[in-house]
Amino acid sequence: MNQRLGVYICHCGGNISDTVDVDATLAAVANEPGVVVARTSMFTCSDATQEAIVHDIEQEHLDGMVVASCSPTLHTMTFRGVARRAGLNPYRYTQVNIREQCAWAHTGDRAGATRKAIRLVRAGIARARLTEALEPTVVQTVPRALVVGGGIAGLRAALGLASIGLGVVLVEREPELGGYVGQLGSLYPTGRSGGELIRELVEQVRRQPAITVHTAARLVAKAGTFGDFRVTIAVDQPPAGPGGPAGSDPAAAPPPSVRAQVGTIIVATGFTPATPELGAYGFGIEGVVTLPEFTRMVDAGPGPLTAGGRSVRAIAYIYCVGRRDPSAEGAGQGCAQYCCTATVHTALRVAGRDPDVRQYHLYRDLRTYGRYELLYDASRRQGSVYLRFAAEDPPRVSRDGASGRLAVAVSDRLEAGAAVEIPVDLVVLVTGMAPRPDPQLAEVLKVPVGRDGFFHEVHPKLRPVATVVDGVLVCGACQGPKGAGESVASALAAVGQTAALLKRGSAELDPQVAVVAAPRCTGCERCLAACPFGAIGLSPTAGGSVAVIDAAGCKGCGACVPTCPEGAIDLLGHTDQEVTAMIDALAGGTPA
Amino acid sequence: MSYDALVVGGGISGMESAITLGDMGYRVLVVEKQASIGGTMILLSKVFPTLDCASCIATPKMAATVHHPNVTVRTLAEVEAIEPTEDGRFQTRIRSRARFIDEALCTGCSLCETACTVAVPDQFNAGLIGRRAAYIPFPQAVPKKAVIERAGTSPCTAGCPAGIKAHGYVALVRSGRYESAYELVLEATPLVGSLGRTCYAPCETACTRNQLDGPVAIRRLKRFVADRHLAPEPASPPAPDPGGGRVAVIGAGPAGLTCAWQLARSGHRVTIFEASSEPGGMLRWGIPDYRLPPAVVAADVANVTRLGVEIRTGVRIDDPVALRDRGYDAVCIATGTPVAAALPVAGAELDGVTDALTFLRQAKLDAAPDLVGRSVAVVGGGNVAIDAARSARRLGAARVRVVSLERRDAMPAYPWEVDDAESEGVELHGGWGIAGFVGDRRVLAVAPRRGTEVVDATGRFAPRYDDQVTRQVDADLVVVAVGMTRDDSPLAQLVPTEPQVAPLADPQTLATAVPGLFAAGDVVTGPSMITTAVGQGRRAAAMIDSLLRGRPADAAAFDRQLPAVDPAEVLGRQRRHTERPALAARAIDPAPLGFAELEPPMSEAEALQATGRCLDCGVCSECHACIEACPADAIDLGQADEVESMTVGTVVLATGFRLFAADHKPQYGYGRFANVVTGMEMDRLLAPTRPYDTLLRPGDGRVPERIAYILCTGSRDQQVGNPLCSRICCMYSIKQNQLLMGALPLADVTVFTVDVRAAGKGYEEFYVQAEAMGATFVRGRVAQIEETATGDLLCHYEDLEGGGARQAEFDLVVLAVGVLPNPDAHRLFPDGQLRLDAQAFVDEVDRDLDPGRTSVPGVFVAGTAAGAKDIPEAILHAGSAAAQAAAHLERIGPDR
Amino acid sequence: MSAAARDPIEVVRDEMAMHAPIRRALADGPHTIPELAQALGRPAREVLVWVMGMRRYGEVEPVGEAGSDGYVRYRAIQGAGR
Repeated sequence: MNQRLGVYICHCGGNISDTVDVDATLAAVANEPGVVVARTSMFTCSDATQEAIVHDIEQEHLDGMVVASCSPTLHTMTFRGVARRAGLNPYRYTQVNIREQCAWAHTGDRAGATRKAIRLVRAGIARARLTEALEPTVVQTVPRALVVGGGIAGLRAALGLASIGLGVVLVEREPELGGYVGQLGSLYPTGRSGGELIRELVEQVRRQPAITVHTAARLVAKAGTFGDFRVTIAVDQPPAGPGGPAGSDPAAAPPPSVRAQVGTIIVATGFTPATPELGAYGFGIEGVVTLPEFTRMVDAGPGPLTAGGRSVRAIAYIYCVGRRDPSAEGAGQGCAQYCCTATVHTALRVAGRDPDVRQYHLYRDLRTYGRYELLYDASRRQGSVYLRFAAEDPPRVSRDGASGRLAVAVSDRLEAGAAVEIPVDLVVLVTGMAPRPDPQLAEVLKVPVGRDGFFHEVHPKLRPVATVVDGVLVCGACQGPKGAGESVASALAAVGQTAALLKRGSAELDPQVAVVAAPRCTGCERCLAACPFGAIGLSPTAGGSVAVIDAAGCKGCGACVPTCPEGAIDLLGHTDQEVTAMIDALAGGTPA
Repeated sequence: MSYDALVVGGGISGMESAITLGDMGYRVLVVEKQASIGGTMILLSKVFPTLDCASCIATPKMAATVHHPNVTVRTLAEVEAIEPTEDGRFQTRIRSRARFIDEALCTGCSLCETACTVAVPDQFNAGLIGRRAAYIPFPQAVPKKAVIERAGTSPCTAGCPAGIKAHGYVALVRSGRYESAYELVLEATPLVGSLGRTCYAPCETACTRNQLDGPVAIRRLKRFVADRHLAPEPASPPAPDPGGGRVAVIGAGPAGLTCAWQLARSGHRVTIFEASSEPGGMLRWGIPDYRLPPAVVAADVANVTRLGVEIRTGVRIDDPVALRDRGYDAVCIATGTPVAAALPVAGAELDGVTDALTFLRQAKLDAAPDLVGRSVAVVGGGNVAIDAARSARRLGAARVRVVSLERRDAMPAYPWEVDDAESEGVELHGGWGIAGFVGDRRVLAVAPRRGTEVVDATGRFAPRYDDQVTRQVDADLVVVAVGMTRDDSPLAQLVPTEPQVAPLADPQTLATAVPGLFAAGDVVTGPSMITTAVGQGRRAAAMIDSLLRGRPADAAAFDRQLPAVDPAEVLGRQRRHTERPALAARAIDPAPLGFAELEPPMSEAEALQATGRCLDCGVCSECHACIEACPADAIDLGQADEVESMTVGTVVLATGFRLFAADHKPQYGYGRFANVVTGMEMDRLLAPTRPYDTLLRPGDGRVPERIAYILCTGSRDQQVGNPLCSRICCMYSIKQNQLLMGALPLADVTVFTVDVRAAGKGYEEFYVQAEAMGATFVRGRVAQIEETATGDLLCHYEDLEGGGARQAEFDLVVLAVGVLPNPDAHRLFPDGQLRLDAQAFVDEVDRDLDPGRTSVPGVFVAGTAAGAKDIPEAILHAGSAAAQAAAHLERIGPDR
Repeated sequence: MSAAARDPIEVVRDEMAMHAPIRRALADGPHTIPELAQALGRPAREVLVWVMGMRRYGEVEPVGEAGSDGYVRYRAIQGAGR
């Protein structure tokens, strides 16, 4: 039992202390058994306070510490680092969340929040008295990464990894590499051809011996752990090595699947262009097209644009179709970020080809952010007309039976809501990006998706390409709408994170895993069924068999613990004893 | 010294790049200009769209950066040059600026800040509040160590030959710490009251305020602190340091007294031998009472004796070398220039012809000849001549005429002395040399002849006369004031045979040819000013102390200072200067009688007014209050910059951005209207470490209720030359809207905007949430803001949705200022190598495939140095730069 | 209200000289910024800078929250200052 504890209660610069009486909390816990140091600080995570804690641990010979501050997801690693620097085993530190769980949940109830904070801290102290030193499992990492997705993000990631000396297995679902950008004739803001760009990248990938490419292939299974995943890839055709497709002998049967050993997995599966609902904004009427359809028309050739056999003299673009709708499900609530600029860029191309084409932009907010504003300026100079509509009064598209032309009716907010009817030859619906559903991949990787249906990173600022699954990273438009350059930036960020994980050759795994007390195990196998990670196996014994948990495979989720009728499984770092002590501390004693 | 990677800038992008490269195993050096890493992000309140507090995200990154085993951080440092080399690496030069704090000793306790006497705008609080010249950047600073901001030595301090910290005592007086000011002067000399009255104040000549509305009355402030100083009760002097020595000082003038004082303070036993009946030298005998009352000199001398220095008056030392043999470990000769120069002309021996030293001494002893109704001629144009002339008037002389070789505007006397003398009825006759004195036994007149030149072409004194032009000036008494020289008789063994060639003592060490014997003051320099003599005394004491302590005398290190601040730089810190006239000149009595002190003491109000005019040129005033306050003895004002050269394999430029200066949109009144603030200022007002106790408007400290935001201030604006959208302003405004409505539930928030650019993951939802909370978004352009009598703001705007010209009144207007390029990165490279884009951001040569790659191979740009970005974009961009930097390192291979 | 706003550097610089007058003005009890401005004969925007500087270094503190007039009152901390 730990007898020399340090307790640190954080103001969080007011985030906590505006609601919780931090000094009262300190006073209430300072004399708990085992507490030898108790302090408050403005920002416990600040370097100065960290150094003060290091000093306390060293001077007071602390054998346990409690930090009462924010969510453990934010700073567990920070304070484990503090303990480690001071020579205290990192797992003898307990984080208590009095910000999200207390201050932010009970604003306006200072007394109640303070009472709760005191009990939470007491529970943390109770646990800290029982924590034990744990040593992480060290795995030798494999200097190779799996990249899922052969679009611009995946290709650039693969090249980036190879250029830092890491091996790559690149898996693309389609028969050809290239993804969405490969189909584009012109990228904003540079105007370079997406197709050519991708051809260049693919060529480099093919030349790079460190990259193995599997097209028409899917990731179907993942085992092992971060640093040393064993993945299975189902391929419809033989793998392509350097110098083109290998195994040109048509008699040889293609292998049904390939196995590979990789240290991390980078998911770059991209997006799918959103399709409007039939009938919305005239979608379904001839001459009403989506932006991707329209850009293909523009890409198609140098001649005049035609629609339905007629030369296109006027175009209306309707922005935010199926987007920015608070009542929508999934991605429809948000802004798709790239489409304003993509549309303006396309309009500039149209004007560049035929300056007499009249172009009307029906928008809500024109979001050509940053330097893309220059494109917006240029399009207005080239004659594009911008009309602002309100979400509650969207444009209506119809086809005039007599003239055969399309007409767009809109109330222009910039003209005090004046009703305008614009005859056009083509209506372009700007629809944005939708997540690309892939239930099989989600099942294999267990990467969560957000409300918008895109893959969810741990934190947009702290760990913007990491997922909650250790060693699985996300980048590109599978995370959310992005332009090509932005996708590449995130892909290279994922390369950087991968290199940070794999270049050192070894990695530490969290030792907070489940363990079986073999003498008590009856081999009933209930825990095997409970484990979502397949980390529990049976080991034969003289009298039958006992459950054995693979420390590298266990994620410490604790699902197995309550299933054991004998109480033979304990989760290190969260033992029954610790949890019971915390419950006693939360429930017992005199109310604060 | 080499590193794999150099990261320029320790903001969020720089930290991200550094940590990533460090994790990969590369050795990384981060160079940050400010005293803490953290950049702009650490100063923000919360960050969109998750409303995490910025500190919660940035502080762990800051700690992770400094504690990373592969990352070295230099704060308060600047990269001066980056030169690409043949092998794909870079030769760089890095200047670590002096912190003036020993980082190893500093505990970050802030006591120096609390003690500091200089307030400057706090750049970490957008200038909304002051900080001190000694400061810790902000509560979460990394490293949390104090730094003292010094722009150089303040011109006043640099100009003082005595080494008195003039700026320091002015600042202490300004803070009301009069006794500390007195003590600061004591660090240089015991002669506080005397200098406060008689110093010719080169500090004031150097004062930057001369270029505005006249110098700060620095000398009179010294007198003020001397007047306020209550001499302590006589106490037994401190016991000398047993390790100290015995020193004899010959002469109790300014140099001797100062030398003795300094030695006694250093723990030595000192005896002063003074030939005359009282100590003080020229202070006691040469300066008339109306300028320097004897009691003031006595009080200054008491400072010296209080320390246990023995002054033996009436003892003339004829053989200093013998003194050394009588048990003194060192001897300092400070005998001054007590011998009046004679005028070798006819009639010089007549009765009634006297020298100024004698005359002034008689006046001091109340033994001057009766001059009531008589005529006096004073020969000479220096300060002594003026002193003699004015003394003669006070003794009742009806006519006092000063005959000088120099014309009035070239007289060596201080112009103000000459002016005052004239106001007191002294007649000036400049441009005349003396042909002789007329009289028979007793003088009757002076016979001048026209002087044509005073100096020759080389500047040497070589008067020429026109003997055809003569005149006669009647005089009952003639006072000759044409110079003074030292008394060589006791210096026989010391004076070199060729006095013109070899000085009495080495000007640096003040050591004479005889070991253990030193000389200081006018005896070395010839007649000088009191402050110069004081400086000599200090220097001699320092050299003698070194000798007695067995340390090598480092004369060059004595009084080593930072270079003086350029006044142009000081004046350039402010856009406008409010005129603050100096103290009014006092009236002069045209017929003064008696020797009562002329200059009245300064009142406390006058002293505060005078100190309020100080411009804090050097920023730190060297008042030494921090040294007193620091419990760790960590302050070291003697530190100097360190410059190191090193090789690096790759460079990541993370130099960040500048904010648009809101006063470049004068129609919004920023800088004139107190309640018009920038977005950055509002972020500070909302941050947990905010400058005010709560959210107040800066104009009058009232809690605002009607708050307006003007988006695109300085962005998307050809008028100010910035056509770009700044990416972050819509979103930070929306964030602030939410925080404001949370903090002030009754507040109305109105946002004037053209487009709301909520483009990013979760951004649109964040915007919708702000609207749901009650923020009103008006599609409108604000044309102009007017301030009302109560400080409220009338916004004239054009309603873009057809409402035409409208106006609305607010308590507070927030200008959502945008992002401009930081020019820092460009100048690091040889001419033109680092390409910039059209807006002068660092150019990226392939934005599609290699975000972050610059025109210089091996150099990458991270974050907003390449263009406006929000934090998530900057972090991804930094990761991209790091990945490519790593690839470059792999390509070039390990460093030798 | 503030036609001739002084340069911010100048205003901040004056803080050191204003500590004593502000402490004197607070000797009879807590005051708001406009009240102090009136007592000192200086613009409220300048007084705010000085009072907030004094608050930062522990010489004054707010008394409760803003009153119905929207102003917070400040009091001198006894024993602080020099």
